[in-house]
Amino acid sequence: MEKQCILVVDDDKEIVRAISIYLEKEGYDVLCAYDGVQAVEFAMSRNIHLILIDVMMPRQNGLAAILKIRETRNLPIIVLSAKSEDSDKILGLSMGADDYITKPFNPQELVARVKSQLRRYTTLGDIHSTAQNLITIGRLTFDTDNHTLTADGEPVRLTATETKIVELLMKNAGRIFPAEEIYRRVWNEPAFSAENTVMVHIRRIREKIEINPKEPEYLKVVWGIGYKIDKP
Amino acid sequence: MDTKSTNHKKANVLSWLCFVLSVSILFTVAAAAVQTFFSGTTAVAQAKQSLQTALNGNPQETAAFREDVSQIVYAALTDLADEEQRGSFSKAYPNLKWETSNILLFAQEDSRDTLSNTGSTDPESARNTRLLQSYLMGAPEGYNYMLLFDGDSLVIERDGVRVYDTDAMIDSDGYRTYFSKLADKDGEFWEEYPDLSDLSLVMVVAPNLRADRDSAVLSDAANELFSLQALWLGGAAALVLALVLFVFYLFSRDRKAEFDRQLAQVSGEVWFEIKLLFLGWAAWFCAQPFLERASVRETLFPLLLLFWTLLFLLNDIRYNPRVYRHNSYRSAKSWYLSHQMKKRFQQRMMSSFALFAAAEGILFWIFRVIPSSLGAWITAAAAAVILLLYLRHFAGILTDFARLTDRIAEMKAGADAPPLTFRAESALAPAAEDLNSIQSGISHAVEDQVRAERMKIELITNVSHDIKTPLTSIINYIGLLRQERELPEHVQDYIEILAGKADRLKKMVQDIFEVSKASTGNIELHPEPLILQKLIQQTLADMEESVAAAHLALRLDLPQEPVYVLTDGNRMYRVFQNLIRNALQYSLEGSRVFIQLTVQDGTALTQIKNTSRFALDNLPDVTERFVRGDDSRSTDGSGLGLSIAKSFTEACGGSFFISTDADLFCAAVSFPVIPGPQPEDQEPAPQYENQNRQAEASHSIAPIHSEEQETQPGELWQEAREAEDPEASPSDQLI
Repeated sequence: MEKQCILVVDDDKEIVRAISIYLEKEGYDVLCAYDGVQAVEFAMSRNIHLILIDVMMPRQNGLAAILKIRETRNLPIIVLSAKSEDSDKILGLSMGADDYITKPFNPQELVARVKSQLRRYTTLGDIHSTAQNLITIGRLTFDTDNHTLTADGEPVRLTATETKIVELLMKNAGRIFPAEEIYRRVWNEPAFSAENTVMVHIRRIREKIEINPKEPEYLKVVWGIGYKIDKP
Repeated sequence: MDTKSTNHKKANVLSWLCFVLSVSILFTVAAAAVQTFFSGTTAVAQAKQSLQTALNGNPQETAAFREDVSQIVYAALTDLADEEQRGSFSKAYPNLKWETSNILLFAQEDSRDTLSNTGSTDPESARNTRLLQSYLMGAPEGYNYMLLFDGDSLVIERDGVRVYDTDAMIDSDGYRTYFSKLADKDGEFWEEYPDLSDLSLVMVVAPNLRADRDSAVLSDAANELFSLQALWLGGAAALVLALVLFVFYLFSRDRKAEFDRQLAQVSGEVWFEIKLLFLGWAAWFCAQPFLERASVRETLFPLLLLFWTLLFLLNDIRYNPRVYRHNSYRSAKSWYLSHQMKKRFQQRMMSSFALFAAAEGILFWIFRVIPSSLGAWITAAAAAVILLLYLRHFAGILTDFARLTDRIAEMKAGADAPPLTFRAESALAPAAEDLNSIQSGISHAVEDQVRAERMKIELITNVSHDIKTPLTSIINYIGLLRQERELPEHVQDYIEILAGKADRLKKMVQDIFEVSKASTGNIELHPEPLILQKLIQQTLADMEESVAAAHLALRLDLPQEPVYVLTDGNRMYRVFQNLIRNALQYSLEGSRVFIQLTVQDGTALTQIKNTSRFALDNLPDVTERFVRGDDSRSTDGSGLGLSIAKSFTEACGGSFFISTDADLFCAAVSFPVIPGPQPEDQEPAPQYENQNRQAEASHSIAPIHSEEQETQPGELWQEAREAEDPEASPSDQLI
């Protein structure tokens, strides 16, 4: 298989260098750019599979560059930004970015997100169309026939209880389940010390499906109410 | 600039003067015309005649000439007709010599007595003969005017034209009034002098009253002619001048209006009653000659005065709104008030009461002393009016008091209201002003504070952003170093230390950012109803590993009924996480940590109590940013935990406080309880009985089935979980 090419854009050369080392270790080709204009040029002229781009850059700001690239290219774009506020994230995503990573980021997480985006971009396209007994939420796909979960197209190994919990939450995506209800419906017995038990399972599932379990994107705790699986 | 303004001023004055002069002249002329017109037809005729006379320039046409002539005739006739009066003529007209006079005169009584100025009394003398022949031959040479009296009728010819004839009833020059006594044969004059019928008189007068002759006798006529001519010519000239000036005024109306404004500015300073008095005086001054039916000349000045006074007042009214407001009463009042305002409030009240009491006292004294009952009534009425005025004043003060106190209450409540405005004369106006300035001072201070906070946020945002970028590199390159396997072990140790510190730095930057945002109320909140017990249990479950790692016993005391509060779950999770972490970190090893939730008076109070490892005396305000109980700052944590807890709790609508008692540290979070959702659209409310947990040192949280079993040790949560959920163990078979 041909090596996938990733464009890394940041005005801080050391960061670009570090990221490219990590990505090259994972077997990707890396193209470096240091401002928005250069990024747009590369995105238009080279065969690029994914773009990692900073927001605050000289010449052309990252968001403007994304808008420009999105006019012609449909490829995953991940924003790297020191701005950590929700409003910044929403702005970035609404400009056409597929993911938003705040600085300072964990390099492993960055790599995981890159992989996730690339898998979805390259392999997931056909799965969506064929099967009807699949529940897809973002990176996650649950096969209700085989009771299997895939994240970015890769199977996730879950225990039976975990599978039941995931199935319940994914079938009712967005609905908040109190721990007692999860307990009753998964264990089929009256709730007893439900909160701890459910929470332990939730944390384990997170570790298997989330890129950064400490900041879950899909399996979320609704504090004081319950749990849910929802789009990020 | 300066010269321009002075030029402007000059132009203003000039334009105004033009207006005043032209209008005055026109007014005078008009007044004269109107008065003449209304004085009757004779006056009009007289005016016409005088104009004619002035135009003709013949003194023989003047009234003075007619009067003089008639007097001479009467004097001559009485001299001859009355024996006793003999010689009176030459006494009355001693200078009437023919050589020097414009007159030649000859009178005789039946040829016995004669009277003449010709130098000869003999009728046969050449000059007298010529004179006596005048009737037939016309006036002698050098004379154009001839008067004949033949003892019966009187005939006057001027330039050969008969201007007066008692028989033919001719009177084109207006001699009738002068010769009425002579013309009336049945009148007193004829009765007194019946001999008049024996008399005859011839008199001729030189034309134009030649100046080379002594015209003393007829000088009146010359004077009158001159004054008539002067009057008409002067009048015409004045009229022309007035018109020219008026045209000039029309071209510079703006300048005049400017001057009017300046004038109004000056006149605005004058009390209204003074203006009224002046107007009244002018009116009286004007009315008097009118009432006395004085001539034009006497009426004119007062009329002009009245006219200009009225115009001046109109100008005043036009440019000064509510002219009547500037009067002596108001001035006195404002003077009194400004004087009063310098005093303290109590002094003001005292002095206004003293003024009132003094006025009432004086009136009472007058009431007692005054003899007439009408006066007594008036005094009593005045006293009542003063009482009412004082009460009104007092009521005004009370109203203002109410407004002032209301405003103070509003300010306390934090309402932003427009500044308080009192009437300037209100006794509380200075207090209101003070309050307004306090209010604006407060709002300025608040604004400044808000601005400072915003700047602080901006600073922190920028700084944290600036720190984050190099931190990204640090973390990334530490990560790369970590992957180097060939490095000696001690270097790897160093790298681990670096990694830990970099992580801590990362957390701190995030915490600083969050706490500064929360403490200034700049965070986005999503409040929703949630169950506090659940929140606490979820938090504990989430932190299970660190709870297990700490050698502490955790005791949970939660009520059975779910306690609903309206708050932002994500933020409150952070609050409890920080509080529990704080408890875990600073507790004395082996001691117990209590988490209690109680509901009282609609308030849910969550307390997290622990026994401190360090002495808590002289505890600084630990909720301040970066303040830590131990001061050594060696332990993990940013020092922001309690600060985050406090600012988040307050941002979410709760209150947060910390208390210490000896070594007992207690953090309390309280929220108002809200009613739970309706049962039909909700899962059956979870019961919290049997859910108080206890965990002993070195053990995880263990569920306790009842209060009695609370102290029962040994039942590990791990075991319990495995018992309930065998699949959840790490040895679970994977799907």
